[in-house]
Amino acid sequence: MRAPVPAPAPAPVTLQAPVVGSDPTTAGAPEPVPVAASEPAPAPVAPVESEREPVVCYVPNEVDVSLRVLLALFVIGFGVWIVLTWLKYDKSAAQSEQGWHKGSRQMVELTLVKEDANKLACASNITVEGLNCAYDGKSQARVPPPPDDAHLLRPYCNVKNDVLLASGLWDSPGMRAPLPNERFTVVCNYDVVGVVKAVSLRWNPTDKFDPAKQSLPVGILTECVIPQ
Amino acid sequence: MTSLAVTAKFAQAVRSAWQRVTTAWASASQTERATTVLLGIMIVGGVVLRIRGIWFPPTFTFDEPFFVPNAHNYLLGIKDTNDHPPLFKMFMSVGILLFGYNSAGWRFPALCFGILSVVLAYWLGRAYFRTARAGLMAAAFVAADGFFISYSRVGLMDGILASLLLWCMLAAVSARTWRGVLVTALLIGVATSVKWSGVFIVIPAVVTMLLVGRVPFWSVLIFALVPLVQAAVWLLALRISGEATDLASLWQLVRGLVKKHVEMNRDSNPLNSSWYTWLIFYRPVVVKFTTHGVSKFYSSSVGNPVLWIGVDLFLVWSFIQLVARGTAGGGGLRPRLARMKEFLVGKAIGKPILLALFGWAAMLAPWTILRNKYSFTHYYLPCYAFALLMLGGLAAFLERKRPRTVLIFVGLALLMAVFFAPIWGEFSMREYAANRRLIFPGWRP
Repeated sequence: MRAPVPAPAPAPVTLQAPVVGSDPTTAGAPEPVPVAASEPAPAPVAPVESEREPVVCYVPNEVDVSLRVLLALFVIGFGVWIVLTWLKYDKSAAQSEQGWHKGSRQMVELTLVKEDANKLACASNITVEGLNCAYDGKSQARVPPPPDDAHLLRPYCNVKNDVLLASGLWDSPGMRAPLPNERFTVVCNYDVVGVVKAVSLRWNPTDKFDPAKQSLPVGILTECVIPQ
Repeated sequence: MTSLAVTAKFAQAVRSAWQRVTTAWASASQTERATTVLLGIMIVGGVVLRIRGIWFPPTFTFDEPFFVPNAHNYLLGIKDTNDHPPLFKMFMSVGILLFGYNSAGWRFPALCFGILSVVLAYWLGRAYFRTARAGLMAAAFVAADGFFISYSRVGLMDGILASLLLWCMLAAVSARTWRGVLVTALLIGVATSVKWSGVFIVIPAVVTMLLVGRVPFWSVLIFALVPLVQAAVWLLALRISGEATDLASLWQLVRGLVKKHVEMNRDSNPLNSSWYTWLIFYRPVVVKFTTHGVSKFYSSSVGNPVLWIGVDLFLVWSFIQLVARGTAGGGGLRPRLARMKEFLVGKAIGKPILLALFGWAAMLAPWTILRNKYSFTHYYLPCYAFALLMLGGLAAFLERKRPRTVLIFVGLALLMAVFFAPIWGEFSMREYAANRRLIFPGWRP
């Protein structure tokens, strides 16, 4: 903070803030109602104001005003840091830009038709945490095949049109009831266990496998329910 | 100054502030006290709405992808490829440094400046209108308006720019000597280092200083420092990002960006809106929108209708009054001008209202002249800050004669804020409930 300097301008010392209007009054106190110039002068009311005990005010100078704002900014920043830490922001704010990273659990909403259980497939030589596609990198059925749905990766689309590879959907208890005949969505917890890039996808048994254009998350779906 | 003296000064400031509060409360009527309580709720509620779940969604929203990776680049020491000046991204990199590369980190500076805007509205309102009451009204209006709330919750520069421009005007109103002018010029340099459009504040700042501060005319020359401040900020940014820091390279960079901005003005965007539509919030941007199953989360930048309609009605009423005084009645040009002058500055409230209005007009005028296709409602945010200051001063003035009317107005503004809070602060809601608030198709994402 700078050293105090004598005020060079002849500003009244009782000013709380710079004067814009014409009649000086103590800040915070009610001002007299302005009177039109054509009206006769009212009875003197000024003495009543002057009899009041003056409020001792800290008078910031023109540089201190901005220093006060700067101080306020730091206080606000510190306060926000305390509050966000107290609210445990790190549990909710994901570290990666898409919010998905290995080891994280996301809630996903997938869009499906019931025939997808037999239609969706992927092809890759890569095994992630014991999870495999039904086909290898040459689009041949894997031998031996993955033992169950919990180990079989399939491609799915969520409602935002993001593609992900996941296992465990069709064995989930929430999917055992008769499924809707129309297209429906299902909400699951998705535990990300890895990422693969060398993978091809097929959305229909009559189609060819298409290589994925980008890396895809690999994970396990649990606690799936069809939202009502 | 010793730390003891600083502490004593701070203690004196706190003591005098508390004394003013207790004095004002003791001298207020029941109606005024009720209004004060409502204003307090608006301020506290507005701050809470800004902070709650700021990190949600943890992914990029709206224009964040243009800024956040570039802010991260500063920490990695690599090139910033964004087409705006660097300071906003440098602020953002401080947030990332504090919180990590996550949504809390990159939204931290916008949140801090968003809360600072409330404080600045108080100080500037008090400085303009010379009563703490006007400052309190202005602060509450800024706090409880969705336009400011939404831009405090997202990693975008517009809320920060509005806050810095309020700070510039506070410095300008406070200036009495060349020192005050120097501080104002430095702050305008900082504001233009966030976004170039901040430079338009020079005009109201100069006019305010000459009219109010009565600084020496020559001191206006200090504003020549504004581009130098921006150049210094930019050179620092280039140094951090490991690029060439000579003036020739900087000139090439700035020229390239100016050219890019000119070309961008020919583009069209579904969110484009013309300046005259901003006054009625014809196309406010939903700056954050996420879906989780059937739940939807909105942060819409639509303003508080009671406040923006209040501003618009006052502007229309003032214009009609001015025209009526200029056209009706007898006499030549001189008496007509005298009547108009009487209307504008005849009352003590006139001059500060005109100054706030001048800030509003100065920040709006460029968009009325440029008329580019590539303009958005958020360009109105700094203008709207001055409009709310004006409304705060007006409400404080009217309260002396009509305290109940002002109580009803503030109560309605609070009710409207409560109604709109879910779509400003990203509450979980169904689409039909959101559409009850976002009543016009142009308000919806």
